[in-house]
Amino acid sequence: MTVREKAPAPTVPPRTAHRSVLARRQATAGRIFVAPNLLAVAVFMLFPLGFSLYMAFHKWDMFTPAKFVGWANFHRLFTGDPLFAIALRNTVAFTIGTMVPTVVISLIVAATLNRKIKGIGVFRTVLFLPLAVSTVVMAVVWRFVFDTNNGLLNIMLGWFGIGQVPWLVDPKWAMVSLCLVSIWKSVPFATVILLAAMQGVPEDLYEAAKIDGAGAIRRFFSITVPLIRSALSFVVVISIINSFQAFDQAYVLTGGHGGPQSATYVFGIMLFQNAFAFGDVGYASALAWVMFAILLVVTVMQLRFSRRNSLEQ
Amino acid sequence: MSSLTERVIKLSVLRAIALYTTLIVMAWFALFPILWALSGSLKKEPEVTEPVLFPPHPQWSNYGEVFQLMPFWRMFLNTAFYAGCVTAGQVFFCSLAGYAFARLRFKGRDVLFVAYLGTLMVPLTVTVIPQFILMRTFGWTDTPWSMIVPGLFGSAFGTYLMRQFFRTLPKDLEEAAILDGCSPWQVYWRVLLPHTRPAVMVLAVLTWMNVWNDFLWPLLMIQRNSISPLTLGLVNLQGEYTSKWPVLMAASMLILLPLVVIYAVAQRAFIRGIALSGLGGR
Amino acid sequence: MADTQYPSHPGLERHHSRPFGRRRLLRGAGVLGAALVTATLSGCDRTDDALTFFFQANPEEAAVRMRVVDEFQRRHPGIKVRTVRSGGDPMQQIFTFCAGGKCPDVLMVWELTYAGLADRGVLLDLNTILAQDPTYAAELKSDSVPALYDTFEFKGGQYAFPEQWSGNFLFFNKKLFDDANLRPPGRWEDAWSFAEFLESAKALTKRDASGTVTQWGFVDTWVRYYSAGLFAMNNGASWSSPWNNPGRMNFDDDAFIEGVQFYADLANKYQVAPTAADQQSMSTTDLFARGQAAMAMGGHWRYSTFSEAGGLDFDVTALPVGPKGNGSWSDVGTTGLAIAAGSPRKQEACEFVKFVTGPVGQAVIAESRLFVPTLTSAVNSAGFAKAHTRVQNLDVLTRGPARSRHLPVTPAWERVDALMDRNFGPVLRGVQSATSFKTDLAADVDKLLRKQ
Repeated sequence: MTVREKAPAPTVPPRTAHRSVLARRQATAGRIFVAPNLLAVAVFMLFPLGFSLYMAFHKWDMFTPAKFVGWANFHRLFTGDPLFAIALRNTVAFTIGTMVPTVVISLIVAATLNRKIKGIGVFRTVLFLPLAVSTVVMAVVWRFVFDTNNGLLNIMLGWFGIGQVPWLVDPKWAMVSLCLVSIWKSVPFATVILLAAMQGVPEDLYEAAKIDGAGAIRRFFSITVPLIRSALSFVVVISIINSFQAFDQAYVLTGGHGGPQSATYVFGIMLFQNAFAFGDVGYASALAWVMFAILLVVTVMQLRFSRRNSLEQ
Repeated sequence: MSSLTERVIKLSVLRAIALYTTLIVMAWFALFPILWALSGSLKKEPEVTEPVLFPPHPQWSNYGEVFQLMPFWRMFLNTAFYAGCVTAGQVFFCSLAGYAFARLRFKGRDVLFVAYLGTLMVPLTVTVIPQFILMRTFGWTDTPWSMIVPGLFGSAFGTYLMRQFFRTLPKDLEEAAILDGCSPWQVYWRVLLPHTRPAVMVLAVLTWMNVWNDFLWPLLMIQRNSISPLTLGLVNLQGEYTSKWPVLMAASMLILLPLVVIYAVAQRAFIRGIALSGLGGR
Repeated sequence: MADTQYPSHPGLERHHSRPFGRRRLLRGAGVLGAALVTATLSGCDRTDDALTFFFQANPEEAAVRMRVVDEFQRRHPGIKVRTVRSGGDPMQQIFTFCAGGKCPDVLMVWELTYAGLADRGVLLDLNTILAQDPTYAAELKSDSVPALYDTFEFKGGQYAFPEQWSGNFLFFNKKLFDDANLRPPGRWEDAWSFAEFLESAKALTKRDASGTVTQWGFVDTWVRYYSAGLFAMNNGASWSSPWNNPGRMNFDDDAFIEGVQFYADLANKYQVAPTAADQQSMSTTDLFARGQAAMAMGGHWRYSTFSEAGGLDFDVTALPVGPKGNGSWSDVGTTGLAIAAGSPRKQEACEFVKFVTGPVGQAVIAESRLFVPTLTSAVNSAGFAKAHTRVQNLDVLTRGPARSRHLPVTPAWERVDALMDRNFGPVLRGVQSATSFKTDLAADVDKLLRKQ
């Protein structure tokens, strides 16, 4: 980090002494200021991190003493547990099924909102409203919306002559329902980020392109999208991280067992079930670390990909 | 008017219509679950199955029933209390630490900050079980402490946010104050903090919302209704009254309302803050 | 960390002259905070030395439960009881609460799920209490229905005293049956067959002009895959062998499969019962309560709801018997009261448990119609009969506990239950035949139990 220091006055002992007193005061203050925060992070983040790794190598039910089992938990995860494959498949499907539509839709919405027409402020307020809504409350409301016989969605489909969809009862549709709720919740946040980035794109670029005869769509893909790349990659990364660990909406929408035929049995549910329903805390910790590892790999790959792209520009 | 001008005007009118239509359709998708919940909360139970948006005889009594079926005000107070404490603590301690990381030099500062960044990567699922055990060790299960203390002294994310923001403040402010003989605390408290409003708003709103909407942690920690937050209350209500939709929707609306109000009031600052703090520019 | 260039602040100069009103804000926040703190903490339960009692109850049951609790507090003025109502998943809550170190003192436990807690040492072995009070022990043993009492015995310890018989039977709508000129059996011993049951259900399912069902022949108010298993049990199959701490389940038994298939066919093939999708918008309990279903399978915990439903004239009857079955049986559905092993209030907890499961409490329970009591004296008492005058086939209730067969008691039940939920799902929805149990379910469950 470059430090912009004032050019020191000609060194006179009192000045230097004063400066070192200042530096010491700064250092002490710095340490004191950071201390409470550091304590919290150490106790509630770093210690749990280490402890959960420690637990991953044990078999423990939180009542009887823990037993060291080495790699057994991980071994069981990858070879002996059919539910792990199911959860992995579901979580990947859920992550992609949420992230891709979120990005696409929020791009479109942000582009639409990125105008100075009358009343745009009202529309922005309305479209960002889901930001304020609790996931749990939304899941309860969406359960009502997804009701097979009388939910609003099926009623709206009925207007177009489409038959009833068993949203929460059929395994295939259950995952779609879960994705829909998550997309509905994530689009506003992504839109905020993308809109802010879009507003940073200079107008003259658009003017120049217009003069050159480029249509709106061409302008969008050649100018807007490349220039908001970093915001886009941020949205993608956040979306992946959140979807991977999703628990609230899955639990409230389709229950703690993972929905019809485990269709919505995602990692978050699997972790909760193993830790707090089956009482197999060591196994659940191993699962948590596997999730962490996967997320780490994905994020690093994503960063490297975006950095390579921005270098190419 | 020449036909060319006519055509240009018609085109721009058409474009405006298309634009507004798109916006309205988008707004409908953003709002319809909430509207449907509102309409459901005003229906009688058999009416719930009818596809009407505005029931002919709105049953405001459903809202009254919510108060009978769950101790709503108690839970509301609890949630507000937890959110308030944690938000206040986060804002204070994170801005303090953020300032230290941004402007004060002490040994190991940069290494420490990298460690902070590392913890940002850790998913919630890894830490939730050990945190549960920690609460058990401290004896804080089923007490308000379990909801307040873990977040009270700030977090890595909040500190990161504030540090990034402090670094964008011009140095002359501080330097003038230091020359005037202010201690680091005075520099922080008197000089710099007033200028951190956007970031503080973002952190405050984000923290408030996170605590208000938290579900998994209360699910694990809280047993008694008297200290239970709203999210837990709502899900328990759903567990008991699975198909009593009007009451469930009324409860949902009541829980939504405060946050929507806060959102309406703080929305500008919140959105501007996200943009300014450089979150989107990483 | 690269030192990237951040945009300067457009609003900085403005903020410089209007510093935030910090002091005012802080003062206001302080006042608000203090108000909130006092409001919250003052409302905090001062009764932290109270006995905590955890139970699950639907709203009608809860009211009666509180009457029993109040009666206890009246007789024991020194003991305060604080109730903790369960949400949707009581076992998960019990586990989480106890793992968190704040186990409720007295717990309502279920026959299917208590073993996991007992195995982990969470529950107190009540034999220690009985040892201290031999007369009470003798009374209890002689008056209890053995099947119910033994359910809570695991690996030599007694982990709960039963408080109710919650086995399943059939509620039926008297008016609808009379209108159709049908009469179901009045006693377990006179039970009807699957075929006769199906005929009645078919006759009592009515549709309107557009084909939508206006009246169902049969609805289920219990857990669907458990009910399916109960039909299988009445086809002569037992769920496991032995019932207590079994080594294997009998899900691949032909009789078991036949029974489950019959249950699934009711909704999918014969369409006399609603499918899961149909049940989403109106609960089966409401369907029966509103007179839109002729028969409802459930246990006594539904009794209060049905008796308070206006205009519903109902009675009870036995479950049907399958071709391979030998007599009509209900399940040993029972809940009991257990005491947390780590409870600091064991004495008070003892008193409470002895009250509710002993002659006094059971008599109150019988009169209040909350449960079918487990003590024979209470079941056959006049108070119980008076509380159930609506029902003519009282035998079904009073003889119910004796006509019950055990469901499996195993510490691995949570996992078995999850497996059942997953595998019964497609069968109950009609996309798979129950014979699939032979390959999928049976293998998975055996693997699970062998690891125990």
